[in-house]
Amino acid sequence: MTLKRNVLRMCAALVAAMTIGAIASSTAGAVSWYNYCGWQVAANSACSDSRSGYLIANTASYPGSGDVGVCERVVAAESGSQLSRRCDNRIVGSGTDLNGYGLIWKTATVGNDSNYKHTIDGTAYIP
Amino acid sequence: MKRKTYALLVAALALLAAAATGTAFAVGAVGGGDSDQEPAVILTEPTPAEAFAQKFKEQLSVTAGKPNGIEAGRVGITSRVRGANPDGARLARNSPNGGGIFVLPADEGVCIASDSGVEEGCYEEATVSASSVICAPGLPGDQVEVFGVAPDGIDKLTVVLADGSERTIAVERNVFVYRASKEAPRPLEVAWTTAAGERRAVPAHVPEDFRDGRCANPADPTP
Repeated sequence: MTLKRNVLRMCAALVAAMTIGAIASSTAGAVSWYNYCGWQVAANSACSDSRSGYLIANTASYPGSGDVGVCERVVAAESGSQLSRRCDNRIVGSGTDLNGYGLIWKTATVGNDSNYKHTIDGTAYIP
Repeated sequence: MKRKTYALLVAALALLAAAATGTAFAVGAVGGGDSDQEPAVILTEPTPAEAFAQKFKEQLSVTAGKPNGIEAGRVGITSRVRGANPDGARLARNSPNGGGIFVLPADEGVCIASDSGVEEGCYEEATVSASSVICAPGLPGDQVEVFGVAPDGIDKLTVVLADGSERTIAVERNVFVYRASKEAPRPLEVAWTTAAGERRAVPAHVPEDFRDGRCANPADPTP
């Protein structure tokens, strides 16, 4: 009898916990992000830092003033094939390039596309 | 008998709990699982940026209204963090892929978005600005594209290539597009002549190693 009561309590607790998780998941439609790199990157080079995950977007930006070319790149982690690579002045993002690759584990990097050392910020977005 | 049933039930619940925990670990691994990385935050505001160049919006004649709008889902990440407004989109021209390229008013300057997704970027300065696409699902893997914006009054530009040759391209409603094979010389600059007859140029933002790496075929489900 005691065992039955304990099992029922466990069931109730688990259902409650799973319900809370479901609610949290359903309300967590917003996007989260991780910042990476954020330090000085040599001229015309990629940052040694990266972020991996089921990423939905990646951006590279130059936090200072003035014109600095920045690049972003996202590759399929397993094959190494590029899914997105773009460059721009001061800020660049992967656009909608990763929309069709949701279930693929990816690695995002950023780079400095200028002739001088500059700080480059990377931001990887996850659902 | 009942005890066995309960034991099985407990085991099943334990498995469920383990599966849930495993999922949590998998999510936690996103971003490398570094303990010192910044915590994830909810994306509710655009990132900080430079002061808004109001004259840029005016020069690009961005007007409200949606006569030839773009679907909000086609607006890319840069435009989103820059606060681009799809409801204010103005059709500028057609993309080489087909579909439209749009100019959108943004919190700081303007952004470009396109039906094909190839052309996407944001610009704060009231001058010619160029972006490059080296790999994107809508762009053939053996090609590179340079696109961007030009203020009113500039109807043609020159793409300066690494071998010293030049290609003249048209500006249509403030937007230009240059697409070429990756076997062709690297685009270095986008140049134009001012009303005063001065030659100006901005970088095309095509990196030296733009030919490196394989670009995934979007038709491949496992790139």
